[in-house]
Amino acid sequence: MKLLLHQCEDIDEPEVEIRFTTITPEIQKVVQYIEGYRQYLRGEDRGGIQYKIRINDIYYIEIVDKKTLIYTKDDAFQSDLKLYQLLDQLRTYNFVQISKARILNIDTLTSVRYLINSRMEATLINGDKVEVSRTYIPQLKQALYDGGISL
Amino acid sequence: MKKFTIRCLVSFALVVITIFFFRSEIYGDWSYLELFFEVVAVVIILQFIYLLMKKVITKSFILKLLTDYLITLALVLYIGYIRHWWILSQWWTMLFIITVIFICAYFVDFIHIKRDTKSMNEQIQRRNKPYNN
Repeated sequence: MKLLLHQCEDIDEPEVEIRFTTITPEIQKVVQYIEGYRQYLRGEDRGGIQYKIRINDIYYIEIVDKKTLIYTKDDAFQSDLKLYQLLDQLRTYNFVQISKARILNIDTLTSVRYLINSRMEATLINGDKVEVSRTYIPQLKQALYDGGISL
Repeated sequence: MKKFTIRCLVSFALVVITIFFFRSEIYGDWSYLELFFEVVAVVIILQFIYLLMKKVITKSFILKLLTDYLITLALVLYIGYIRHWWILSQWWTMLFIITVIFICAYFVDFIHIKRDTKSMNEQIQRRNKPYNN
């Protein structure tokens, strides 16, 4: 796969053009990744200010006290959507359910370790640690193998 | 309606049906069918207690394990008691056997998760490795 980068002064936003004869899984992956920068979720911070959160910037989503919280590198935003609705939207962007109340972006995963209570603890690139329930370990494992390379 | 509420209602209905229908004398002496439904009823009651306890002790792994252990022990001793099966009604023997089974099951599970952790970490490293080709 050739990579061509052109610096243009006369365009408003970066453009990505992919030329191909047939769509391969690698191309699909690149498209999916770029789509992740174009797709947003709505969330509000503690002050009630609405934000558009880029899907690729989401680390994990969890339910705390019946509220859906979206975690990015340093912030947390509240969403009106239910966890299953978010999972439906995010499944194509390398998100996987890791417990009854948590969805994880596997591109943010740096390592996992086992816990004494038959669960796992996942460490994310910002240092956050999230617990993976026993029931969802096979799903995470499968997602890691299906997801291919991380971009 | 919540899944938990539905489960509770179904459990309760099954227990009522079992007690009022199968405990009657229509099958005469203790039949195996009756025993089966008796055990089903006990399992449901224990599961019901377990679900209620889980609501309280969701965070504690040790308490959950202990609950599983006591419920299994209670069920085995109950069957032993109602069927007069000697080995199942021996408190200390069953305590020992169930303890051994639980410890073995825990270690098998632990080893399995440890192995999964290793292979998942390898896969994460592979995914995160810069692509040089």
